[in-house]
Order: sequence, then structure tokens, then C-alpha cells
Amino acid sequence: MTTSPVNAGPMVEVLLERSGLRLQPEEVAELAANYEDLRAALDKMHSVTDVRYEAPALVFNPARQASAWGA
Amino acid sequence: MRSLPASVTDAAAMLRRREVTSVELTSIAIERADVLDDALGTYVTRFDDTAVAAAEAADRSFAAGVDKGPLQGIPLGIKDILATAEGPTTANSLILDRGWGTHRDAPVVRRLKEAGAVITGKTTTSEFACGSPDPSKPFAVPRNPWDLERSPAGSSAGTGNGIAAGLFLAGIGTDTGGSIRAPASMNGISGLKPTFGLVPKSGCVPLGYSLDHIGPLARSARDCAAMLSVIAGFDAGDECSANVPTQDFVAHLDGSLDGVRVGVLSYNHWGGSADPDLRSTFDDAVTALQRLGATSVEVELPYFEEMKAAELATMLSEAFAYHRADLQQRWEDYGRYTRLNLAFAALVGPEDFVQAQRLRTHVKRHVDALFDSVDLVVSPTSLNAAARIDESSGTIVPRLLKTSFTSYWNLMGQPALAIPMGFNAIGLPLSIQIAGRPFEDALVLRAGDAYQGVTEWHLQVPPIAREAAVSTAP
Repeated sequence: MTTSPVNAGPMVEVLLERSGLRLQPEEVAELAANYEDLRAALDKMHSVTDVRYEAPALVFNPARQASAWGA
Repeated sequence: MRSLPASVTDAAAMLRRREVTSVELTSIAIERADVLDDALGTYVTRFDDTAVAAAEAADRSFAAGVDKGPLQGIPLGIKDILATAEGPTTANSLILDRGWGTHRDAPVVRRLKEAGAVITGKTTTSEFACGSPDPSKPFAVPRNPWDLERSPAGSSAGTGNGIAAGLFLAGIGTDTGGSIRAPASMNGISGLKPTFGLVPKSGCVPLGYSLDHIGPLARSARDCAAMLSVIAGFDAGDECSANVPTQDFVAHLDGSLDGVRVGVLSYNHWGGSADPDLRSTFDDAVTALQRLGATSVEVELPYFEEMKAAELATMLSEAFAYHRADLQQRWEDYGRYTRLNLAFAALVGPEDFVQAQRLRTHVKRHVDALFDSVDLVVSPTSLNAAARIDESSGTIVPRLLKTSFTSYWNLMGQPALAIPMGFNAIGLPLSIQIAGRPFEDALVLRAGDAYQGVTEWHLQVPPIAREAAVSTAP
């Protein structure tokens, strides 16, 4: 689903508020101006049907513990 | 003003023939920084005193018959998001705790020092490797030595412009979506994003945990190979570090591409607004690879468009986890473009992030299949030459949603080398990217070195460096 430009501003404000970010109005407007393109691109990822049964490229190795770097 | 030798390889040979000392090389590097750094914005912090001390130690080693390899006595620059014991790491930001990494070397830096290299200082980066310069903040705006009104690109801006202008012979950058290869491209030098996990990224301020790569920039692919031979190798401090054998990457450079199958990225992927000279320059480069013995076939990269969104979802989400608390509490302390870039992450959902990782798994199968039929994939590194500084600022989303030839290989973790392939009509460098299979960095470097054996684009010096040089030997 793609959000129309008219609705982008309020949507962006809600999402920023949810993340605890406080932006100047012109900064919100800059994000809102790009929201539709960003959302459309992200939604396109979800439309790749062949990904339906893929596992994400996320690995947690319970047997491995990274040491402090440089140690 | 004196100038440094043309490359690490040349300087290493001169040092061993006793034609120059490391102290002399380092004093030239310092002299050139004194003259050019104000114009170029290369350095955040210079380490003149410790650099001279390291050079003296290198010369003592030579005198004692101790040879630690091709980097001994060579002046280098380090991007200011890697920890170095000599001084603070800023990430070009007011945000980073000044105590971070104090008195410690990132493993990559430690390995360079153990190889006898001379660290001249910390080089300018885009803030946290993801912003555009904000003149209201107390950091230099980096400039392109080919045209000071243009950007050297980022985020490894200072390492790139410093090598191109001869302030040091090679350096370290990092690459999350193209931040080694773009500065290499725009400054007319070479830069390698190694295979993910080959070079440990511990001791480096993160941007995107699963996308960040540390790698070399230098005049030539051969110099990059010498650097990679030193910095590659397992480190337990990096969860992603691969426990693979280290190797001498220079030993693989035989000047031939006989039997190598090159996939040439289809023009369908180029989109609009390419530099008018890009296609002919790229075609010439592919012809040169064929003359070296390679065969070529046109290829398309699977899910090329979808992968741009996967890069954004991954990088923004991973970066936001690191920065969220600081953004909430210190919004104004971030540069304008950095904070806006990072705020875009608030518009990305958790399902977007996981879907991006599912897409990576899926596309990997297709890319592995593609590399059954080719050994390398070549494309332009960038669609355009260096942009004017007043036109290059802006946020990351519209930029990354346009054509990016670089970020695809961050998502795939595969090695990708950017090397110069000519100039456009107004004298700005253009670059070709050579990508290979995971852990086949040696073949990627071999192709770049073979190309540079029959071309001289990588040896061209920008006007500001030529004007500053009145002699070529110390």
C-alpha cells in the first residue's frame, strides 16, 4: 500500500513521535516529501513472492562470544 | 614543494634501494599537508610528532635489516571512525563520546603499525559515515582535488582526497553502501571493499552492522593488495569476522586475465542522467579487459531495484538502533543531513527490516547462480563524476533510490574494487567497478592490476597536486 502525498505529513509526524524524535517543521516536511517514494520502494520488497519461505539473513550463534576488540 | 613517490609500490622499492628514508617520506607528507590541507579538508587530526617517531623506527628497522613488508615506512591516513591510540576519534561529530577508543588501536590500525606503517593522522569522514557536510559544525568541508568546488564524495572523503593530492600514499576507509568506492571514483584513485568478514571491523564506529566493511584506498590495485595483505584476518572482537587463512594478495597479480569470464552489467540498469562520457569510457575499459584475455557477456543483477530498498531498510534500521537515544536527546548536535538521514529510519518498520534480510537470502541464491557463469561482474562505479558541493548535499533516501552500482555488493558481502577508467569532458575522473565471488578478493585485485598494467588513468595527478609539486624526488 502506498500513502498519498496528502497524507504523508501526518503519517510522518506520528512515526517520528513514536520514535521520540522532535524535528523542526521544515525537517518534518523534508521527510514527508520523500515518504511516498521510500514507502513504495519498501513495499516493493514485500511484493517479491519468491521470498515467501526464505529465512532472513540473521544469525545468532549461541556458542560464540565476541571478545573486547583489540584484546 | 616536494612530492611523494607515485605509489606505495614505488615508495617501498625506493626505501629498499636506500633512495629515500621513511623520515623523508613522512616529512614530505607533513609539508604537503601544511600547504594543502586547508584547501582540501583532508584531516580531522594530524599526528605529526608520532608519525615522525614511527618513521624513525621504520628507518631503524631498515638499517638493522628488518623488513616487515611493503608498508614499512609508508605514510598512511586513517578514516576518523577507527580508533587510534595517538588521538581521539570524532566520527566528524559532536556526538561521539570523546573517550571512545581512547589509547587503543582498532585491530586494522594495530596490524598496519605492526607492519611498520606510519600513521599520519585521522581523515575526514561524513558524520558517522552517513551525513553530508554541515558548515555550521566545527569540521572542515572536504573538497575534491580535481576541482575544489566539487565534492570528493563520502564517506571516506579525507582518505580519498588525501591520496589523490599526495598527502599520504594510501589509507583506510569504510564502506556501508559505497563509501570506499565512491571517493575512489570521484578522486581518481583505487579503492577496495573487501569480502564481508575478511577485514575485522572491531574498533570502528558502526553505521550498518551487517553492511559495514573496512578496506584500503590507494593509487593502484596493487597498492590495495599490499594493504589488504596486512589488514585481513580473523579477529575475535568482531562477531562477523571470518576465520579464513590470510594470504599475500600481491602474489596473485600476474597481469593476465586469460580465461576469466567477465559479466558486463546491462545498460538496462543504468537509468537516466549518466555522464555523457560514461558509456564510451566504460566500453573502452571493457575492451581493455578483453584484450587482456577475458571473455565477456552482458548480465543483469537479480532484483536490482528491490535491493536498493533492502539497503535502505537495513542501513537505516541498524544505524537507528545505535543513534536513537542520542537523536532524542541531542538532535541539534548532529549535522543537519546526518540527523535527517537517521530520522528516515523512523519511517521504516520492523517487518521492512526483516523482509530486507529475507530478500538478501533469496537474492544470494540468484547471485551465486550468476557467478556459476561468470567470474567477475563489471559496471561503472558511479553514474556521474564528482558533483558540485552546493549540489551534493542532501538526504540519503532520494540518493540511494536512484541508481547505485555499489550498495548491491554491500548487501551481498562480495568484494568490489573501484579503479579509474578515464575522464569526462571537463576533466573529472570516471571509474569502473569490478566485483567478484566472496573471498575471491585476489581475483578482483588481479583484474584491476592487469587493467592498470595497460592503462595510466590511476597515475594521473590532479592540478592542485601538480601545482604544489616542483620536484618528484625527495
